[in-house]
Amino acid sequence: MKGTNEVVTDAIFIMGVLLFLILLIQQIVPQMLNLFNQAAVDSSDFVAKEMSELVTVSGAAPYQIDITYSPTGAKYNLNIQNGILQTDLLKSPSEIQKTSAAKIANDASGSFSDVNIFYISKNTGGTTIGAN
Amino acid sequence: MARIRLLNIKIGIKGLQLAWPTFFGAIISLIVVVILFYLAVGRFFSIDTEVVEATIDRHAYTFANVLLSSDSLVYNDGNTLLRGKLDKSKLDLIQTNSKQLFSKIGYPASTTEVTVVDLESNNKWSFGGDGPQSSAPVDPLKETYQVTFPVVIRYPNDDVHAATFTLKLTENLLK
Repeated sequence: MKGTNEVVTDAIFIMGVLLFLILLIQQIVPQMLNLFNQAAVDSSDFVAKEMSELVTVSGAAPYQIDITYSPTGAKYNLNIQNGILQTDLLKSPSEIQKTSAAKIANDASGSFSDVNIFYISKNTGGTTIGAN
Repeated sequence: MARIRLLNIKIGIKGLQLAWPTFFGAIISLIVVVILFYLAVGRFFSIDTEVVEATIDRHAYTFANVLLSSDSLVYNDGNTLLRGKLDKSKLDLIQTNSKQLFSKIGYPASTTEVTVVDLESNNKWSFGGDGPQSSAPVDPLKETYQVTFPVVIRYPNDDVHAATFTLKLTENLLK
């Protein structure tokens, strides 16, 4: 059997290894979650489809409706023209990671850069898009 | 009992002693794999997502809802647009000229056909049109989806009849 000192040394060593693993996981898990978020809910595909649906469905409101849509974290360029809504997911303000497009059944138009909060407002004058 | 307990302790300690190299090997391998994966994902790969959905179905339902609130079809009592209550006069008007409506609010690269049937008098209105031309590349294959909503039609003499509103959307989806 091991002596007391030997057991304590082993225990401290195991605790050190576990602490190292916990710190490693703490560093990596947020990065991985961020990566998966970007691939899913923050992706330009997802945002383009969500935005196109919201812009189109705003036209179904008989009166005034105001919608605020904010995807988490990432920033985008948004361009709406001739019934096509295009979103660019940005790596940095000047670098585009991915571009996606979706159709809208609405005569709204607008162009915005480096934004992640979108405003859709519909009243008797039509639909207007804002962002910041 | 004492022998068994002693045996267990012995095996446990012996097993632990034997497992140390394996344990450290596993830990180091895990760390190496995690770091390599992290570096690989960060530098050489990008995780991508593809949203698979019934786009044509969604477009048809949304567009029908937009039309059922449209001032071009729906009865307006002077202050209020009554969603789902179609105006007979507006139906007559839109039947003669519907292209302008759909070229303004239709989905690009799509064709819409609407049929409204009065279930009491059997009156029928059919109209439709093409959406705006798309500047984006669209799939050459067409998809069609049809939805039907229950509505009412308001006649000029204030009669209100039950009716169906059927929208058939044919669309070239974006690639």
